Amino acid sequence: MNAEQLETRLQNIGKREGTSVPAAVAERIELTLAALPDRSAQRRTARRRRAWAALIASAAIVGGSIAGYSAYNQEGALESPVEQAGPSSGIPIDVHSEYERLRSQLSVYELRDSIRRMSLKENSVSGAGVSDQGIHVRLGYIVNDGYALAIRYSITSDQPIKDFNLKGAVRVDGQTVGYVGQAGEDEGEYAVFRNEYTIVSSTQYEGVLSTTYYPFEGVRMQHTDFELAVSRIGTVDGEWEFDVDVRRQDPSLVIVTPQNSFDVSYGLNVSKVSMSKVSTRIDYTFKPSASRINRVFGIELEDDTGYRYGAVALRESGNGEISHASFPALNPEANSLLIRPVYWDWKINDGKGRADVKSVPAPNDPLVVPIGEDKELIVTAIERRSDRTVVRTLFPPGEAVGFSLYDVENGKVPVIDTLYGKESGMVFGPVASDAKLQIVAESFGKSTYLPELEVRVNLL
Amino acid sequence: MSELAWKTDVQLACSGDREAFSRLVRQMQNELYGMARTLLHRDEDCADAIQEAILQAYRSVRKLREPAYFRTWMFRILIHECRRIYRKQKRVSPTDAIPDRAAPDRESDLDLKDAVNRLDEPLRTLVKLHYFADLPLAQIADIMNVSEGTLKSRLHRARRQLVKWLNVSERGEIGYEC
Repeated sequence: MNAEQLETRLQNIGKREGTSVPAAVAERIELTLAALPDRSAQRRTARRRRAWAALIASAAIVGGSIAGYSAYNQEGALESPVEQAGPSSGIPIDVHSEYERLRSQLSVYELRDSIRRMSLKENSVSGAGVSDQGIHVRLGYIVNDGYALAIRYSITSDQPIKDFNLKGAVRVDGQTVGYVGQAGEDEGEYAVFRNEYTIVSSTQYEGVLSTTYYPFEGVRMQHTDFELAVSRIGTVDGEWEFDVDVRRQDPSLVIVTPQNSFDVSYGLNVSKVSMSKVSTRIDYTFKPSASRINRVFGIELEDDTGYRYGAVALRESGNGEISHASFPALNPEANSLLIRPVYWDWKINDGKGRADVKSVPAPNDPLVVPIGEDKELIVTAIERRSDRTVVRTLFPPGEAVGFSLYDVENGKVPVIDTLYGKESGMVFGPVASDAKLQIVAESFGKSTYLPELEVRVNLL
Repeated sequence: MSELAWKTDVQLACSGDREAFSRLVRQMQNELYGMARTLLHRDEDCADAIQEAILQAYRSVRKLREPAYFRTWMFRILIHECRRIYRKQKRVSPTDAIPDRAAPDRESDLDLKDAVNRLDEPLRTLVKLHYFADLPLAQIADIMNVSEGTLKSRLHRARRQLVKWLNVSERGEIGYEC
């Protein structure tokens, strides 16, 4: 072969290469574009995401369960697993085979089983670890579905650990995607990783670090270089660093809603619910109503057992683009999910009140914080732990209420997390055992549910 | 999209407009895929590379000093990502590198592609962009930030190397690495 023949062959290859974008790639491009943050809202988002769940009051479940089948990566079902209220009068539904129905049910069982096995009770950690300062850290499973992460860890020490907590950073492919421990929000360090742990003894701790969504900064390759750098355990500074290659685990159960002719000037259209071992992700398009001044729209997710997955603010869709809302992994006991749209009319100074914590509140002896003339926040428990302060509450139905915890001598206590599941309340930073506390509650107006836009997703 | 609309969207994107940035990416998606497909084996890898290029571009679009070079700049980011994934793929098990689609290539094409893949950088990327993605040298010069003269010289070197390998291969004197 000479150079001329080579030139011809190279050119011929180029001509034969097609460049039409496959559907899977086009979809990924759309998903990526939809997930880009609005810059103006980017910094506010982390705070708002945490505060949102606490601000929206609970309300009664509306609507009954609808029998149906769950679909596994299919574009429809004989009886759709998803019932979506709305103005559409007829939803064309494809026929779904018995085989697919059984397979999808199997997928539900497998997913539930996998999630159960990830719990602290069911799962133990073995393998190599890192030791420093007499403290030994070992990692167990690391599950990454591309948007959410869960990291199982086990810590043992030669000496009892005082004030157990973790401080560290999680990096994916060289980029920091979140922090563990108390957030240094002023430095832009948002503690997006939840740290759930059990104290086996004063020298043994078992836990899981997790987040339901690591934002834009993260990358979502099939293989990622995962790094966890723990810099403090309890009161001990040190270096416990891990660098692991992690393969992405895509959602194992995807329920696609039937295609419909939903074309309205206002509404929520849920197109897909994707469930992995570490998150429940809802793909949607949303057009808010015309009158939306000072109005924030969101969705709450709960299941048939009463387990609440939290609330997420909705993003308005432009040009029909799909947005995502990310929630914690499926409760293994759930048989159906309910997506509840809600809006919140922002009203500054709609009512504010404060109350000193003079005794430890309890469900039968709660602390009542009056808010304005006719509202109140009921505090049923305050737990002072070494790494956090948990405040459990009941909210007045239909009200958007936020609250802060103050250490009277040292000022506002930073928010770490919101409670979810069957609990309601907020998690703050630790306070001294003898600190004088005060709770300031504020009403931000009414929250209103939109039952006509609710979506129920049956899993079985 | 008209040239005026394109320029307007580039300006808006550089000032942080998410929608404008998305329109630009949608407009370029065929070219982005075409380029990624010439540099990587599998559609899943192409999607990864394009996704990461989009994220990186969005993160730094406001630092783009010359908006007129938006397209070139996007390609540059994508090529960087493709190279990164390509290097990573070489560390992964060989079965991961099986193409997604049934390859319509002739056997001789496969030989030639294999030989191209054995070229060192930057020759490999240059050959793929010029021949497989059908990009003119002037555009590649912009993307790779070198002169056309340098590219011509590199192409000459690459072709000489390929001819040498393929002639030896056709005579059956060497085998290919797995």
